[in-house]
Amino acid sequence: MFLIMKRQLLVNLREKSNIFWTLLFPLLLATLFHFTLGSLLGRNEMETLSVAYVSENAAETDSEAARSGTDDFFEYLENLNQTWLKVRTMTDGEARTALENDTIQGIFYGGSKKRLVIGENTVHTSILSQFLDIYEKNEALITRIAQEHPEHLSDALSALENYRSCTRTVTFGGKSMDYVQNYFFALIAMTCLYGSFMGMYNTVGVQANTSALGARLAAGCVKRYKSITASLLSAWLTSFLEVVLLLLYMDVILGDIHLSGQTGKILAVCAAATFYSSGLGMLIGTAGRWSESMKNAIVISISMACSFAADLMLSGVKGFIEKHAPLINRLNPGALTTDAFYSVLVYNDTEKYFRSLILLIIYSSLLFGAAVLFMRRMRYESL
Amino acid sequence: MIEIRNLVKRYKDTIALDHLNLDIEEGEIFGLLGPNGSGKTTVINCLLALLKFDKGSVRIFGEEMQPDSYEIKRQIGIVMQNVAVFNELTVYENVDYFCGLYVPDRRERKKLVEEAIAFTGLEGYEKKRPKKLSGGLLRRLNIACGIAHKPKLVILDEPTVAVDPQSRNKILEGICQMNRQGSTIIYTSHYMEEVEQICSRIAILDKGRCLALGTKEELKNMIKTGEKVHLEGICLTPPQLETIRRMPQVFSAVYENEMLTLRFEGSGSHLLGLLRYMEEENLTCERCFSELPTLNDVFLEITGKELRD
Repeated sequence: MFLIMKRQLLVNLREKSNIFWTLLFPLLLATLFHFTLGSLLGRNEMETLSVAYVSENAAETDSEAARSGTDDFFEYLENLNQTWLKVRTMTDGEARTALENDTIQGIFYGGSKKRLVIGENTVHTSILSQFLDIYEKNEALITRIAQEHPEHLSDALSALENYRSCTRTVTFGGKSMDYVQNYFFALIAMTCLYGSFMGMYNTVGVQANTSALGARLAAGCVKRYKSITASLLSAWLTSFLEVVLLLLYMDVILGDIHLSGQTGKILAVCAAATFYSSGLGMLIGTAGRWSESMKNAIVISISMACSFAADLMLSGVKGFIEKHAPLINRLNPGALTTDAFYSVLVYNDTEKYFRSLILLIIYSSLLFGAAVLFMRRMRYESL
Repeated sequence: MIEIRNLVKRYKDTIALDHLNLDIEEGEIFGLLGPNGSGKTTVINCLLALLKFDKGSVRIFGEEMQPDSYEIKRQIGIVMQNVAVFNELTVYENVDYFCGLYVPDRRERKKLVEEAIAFTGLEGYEKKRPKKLSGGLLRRLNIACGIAHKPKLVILDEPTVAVDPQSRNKILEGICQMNRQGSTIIYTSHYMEEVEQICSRIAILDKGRCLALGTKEELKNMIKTGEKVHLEGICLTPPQLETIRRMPQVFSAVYENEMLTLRFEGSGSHLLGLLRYMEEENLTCERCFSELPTLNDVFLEITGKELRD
């Protein structure tokens, strides 16, 4: 069996057109995407904002004294989000110097008259002013409730505290949530789907009714289950290897995706997706008495349709399908692959990741099982 | 060695094999001769348990042939009608791969592969890919892949189709050599000259039936038509022509434009007797030649049509 597998791997790797479409073409597309879409990457990335907090004792020159003067407003700012908003207490002088040197983007003044001073770079004005506005509105609201309905004060305070838990659905663990990245994910999904070419070619090569090579193998003394297993494994290993090369290229050379810390999960989903494709290719290779070029056309059509529905050619298709016919996204291996990538590299959404992974494994098993049912035939009606 | 009994294979309304019975003995080169579509390849595919058949049985080496008869298959070498090699592998790698399906030991395999390459005259082409080979060399590679493991039974399905005469002779010589080394050969072809040249016994197939079976001499003796003699530039009087017509075993005599064509019945040569008569009658001719019956004549007489399409 290993001899068949070894030779089949060698054949797969030497078959120029196969290698072009399943490896070089995705590499070329990745490069093209890098140069055309790369500049758009990270456009929504949230830069960390550094701000100074100056307490009511603004005149103090001793920073320790300034720090001791923090109030509710400081606590509010500190609790907002420590990932992208860093608040440091400073004296007025320190803060102004820091603002002039662009080491901070703004100064919040505490005390009875709260205010915000921003630097010349006004990109972050609206964000910082929103913080101040929200605080002042909430403060006014609480004061009014305390005056008019003091019995509801505790309810109002707890409602304000619970606000965050209502809006937060998943943790945001990735570096960005950029839609441009979906093109790269869809490209990886397409490359995984191209594994069906290998599955199809390898299957045609081991069946007596589809090729002379298959007839020679079937007439020989190699047990059927060995030739089927060798055919699947060689197809899967080749396509998986190609996807790994593409991932490395996109991560290490182009830097368009960042696998750091998530390599295991990403490789697992790629392994499942390429296994799915190999199974699909095997099923197409073994089903029907179509010519090899006809089977080739079927493989291309399915791969491209799935890739299109996974946002490869046009962003938003997957979202549209999700809105109107979500079942299609649950069936489309391309969408499942990109979902898994997004879940791992953008969100820390393990539930969605495992759902995609498990669905891919279930579908692969079904496809492989169906292919084996056809392939286990040893005598044919006609050759 | 091989027993085929009442083999029936139908493709919808077409009967590909019609109650075929064949016995192939160990050590012979058995020829399956017939026009395209006569059922030769179907017999081979049934023999190898690749094709379902409707009725009958196939026994090889005394055992019923089944798709999972791997021990029987281990002793069979198959050379398909269509070239079945990997275009991405070199000549050596191809032979090594197919030999490796039967012989797992690398050292033993290396020796067998080298022998098969030498046997088929592919030395010097070991590192070439099949696409770089001529049609004849490709056919030889196809044979090398089928016989490298030194099988007891070699099945060659039209191995010389579209091959140049030089390569064809080389292939035919190789087949005889394999047979001398102990392999039993089944050879299918629609080229009667090849079958006549190398086969010890021949079955003539048409429409899935075995029309005749035997050695080439036996087959030729089965038909009425025997030797054909042509005499050109001969002047005969009507009585002389009548005498010739009444000679023993003369089947027909046609005399036109000083050219006499005689057909004899049965086997053997009758030219000498005719020349003796001419000497007695002081008859001369410009040119004289004799043709012994061919397998095509056998086929023609049995089926009423030419063997070649």
